[in-house]
Amino acid sequence: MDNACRSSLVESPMGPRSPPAAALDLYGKRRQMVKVQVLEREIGLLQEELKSVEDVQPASICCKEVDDFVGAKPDPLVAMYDY
Amino acid sequence: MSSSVSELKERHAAAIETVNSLRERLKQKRQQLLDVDVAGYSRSQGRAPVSFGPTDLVCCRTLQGHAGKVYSLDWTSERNRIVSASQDGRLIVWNALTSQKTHAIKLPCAWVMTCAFSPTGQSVACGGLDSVCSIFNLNSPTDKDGNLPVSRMLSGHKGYVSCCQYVPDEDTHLITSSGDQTCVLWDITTGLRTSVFGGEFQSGHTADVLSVSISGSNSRMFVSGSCDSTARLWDTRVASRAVRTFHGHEGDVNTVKFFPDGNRFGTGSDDGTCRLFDIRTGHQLQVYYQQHGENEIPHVTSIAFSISGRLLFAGYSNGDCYVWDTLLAKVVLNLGSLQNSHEGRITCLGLSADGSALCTGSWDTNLKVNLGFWRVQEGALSPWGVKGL
Repeated sequence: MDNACRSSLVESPMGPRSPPAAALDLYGKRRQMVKVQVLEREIGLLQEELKSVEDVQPASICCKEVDDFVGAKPDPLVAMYDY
Repeated sequence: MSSSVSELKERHAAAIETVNSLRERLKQKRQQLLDVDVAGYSRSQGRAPVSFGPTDLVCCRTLQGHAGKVYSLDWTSERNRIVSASQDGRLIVWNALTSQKTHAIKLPCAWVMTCAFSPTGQSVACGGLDSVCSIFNLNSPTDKDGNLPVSRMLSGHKGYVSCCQYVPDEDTHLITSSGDQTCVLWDITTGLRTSVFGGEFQSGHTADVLSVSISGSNSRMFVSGSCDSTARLWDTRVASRAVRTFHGHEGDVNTVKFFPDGNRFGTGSDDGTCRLFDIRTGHQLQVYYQQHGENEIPHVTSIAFSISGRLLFAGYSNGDCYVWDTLLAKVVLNLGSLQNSHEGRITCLGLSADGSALCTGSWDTNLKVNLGFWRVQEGALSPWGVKGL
């Protein structure tokens, strides 16, 4: 193990070297890029949702479904059921 | 990557503006579709209120045994067993009918936040500040010190495990939520992550995820609640993005729970409200809020629906435990004000599978009451004396 470390030290060229591209994030550029990408994806999703909301049924239909479901199901914890 | 940092900052600022304006437009569009809320609709149908006398729902049993705050509980799918997790570093499995402890499991990490029973009732899972979800097989032999060994450790989260739930009808899959902003679907057999929902490079929660709930009618769908004030609906087959994001809360979403019909879910938040959302349309169907004094809005810590969905049990940070009439959005009872109730924050609650009993867990520090076991009072009305049965 010692030998291996020593030989790699000897073989490595002297002088300044560029770090691997993936590790380089001067001034937080990569982080900034990721933030922008996340937001741009969010924009796409919101535009999609905005388009799909045109065809969405009004809340009253959902409320009726809730009321109907609750009314049809017996419940041992509800002492005074009104059905 | 050819843009300069300043260009990226400009793009970022512009994108934030676009997101905000799209959100506002979406909010307005949705507002136009909210022609009525559940309470308005049910009132218009002449729905009579649920009435509860102070002795109708009583704490009929106290499960004593934990030596610290109780943080989580879960019932087995058959009706009579409960697992609870406490700051004393133990999971206790109870026979709820007899109050007897069948297992007291000493945890390798005492900082437990959540626990769950497997669908067959043969295993329990727990997680907490160690960022690991640990599985215990209740049938395993104990070690030489009398402790039940961990049968599987699910490691991979980079933050605390806030909540776990087994996928219904499968002892082999479980979903966790975490402080690392993700949810994970695990294969317990292999101990590996099947899917990760959210995270740095995916569209998902932007803060700690505190709670998950899997749909009882379609086990591929689950919802999550987060400190980013949103709840999200996920399809386990599509991990890259949430199916829908639900806005409305003005604080951490501490707890989420599917409504019994599987098409809606409830939430509880630091903003003091519980809300009911529709998963198909995205509509916020109802807000459940009781006025308190200024500057003292108690947080909602946990919620559960009764089997029909007519009642919403909500535990609060001030020790209140409201029973909401979901259809009329009125509080019909405060379990926290009854005799024999908890003396501290309600942290967790859950209903038995048959819907006939409620169990609540608390921060009661004096070891007096740790778990309350609530039922309709015998004699007041037979639990099954409901029209139609």
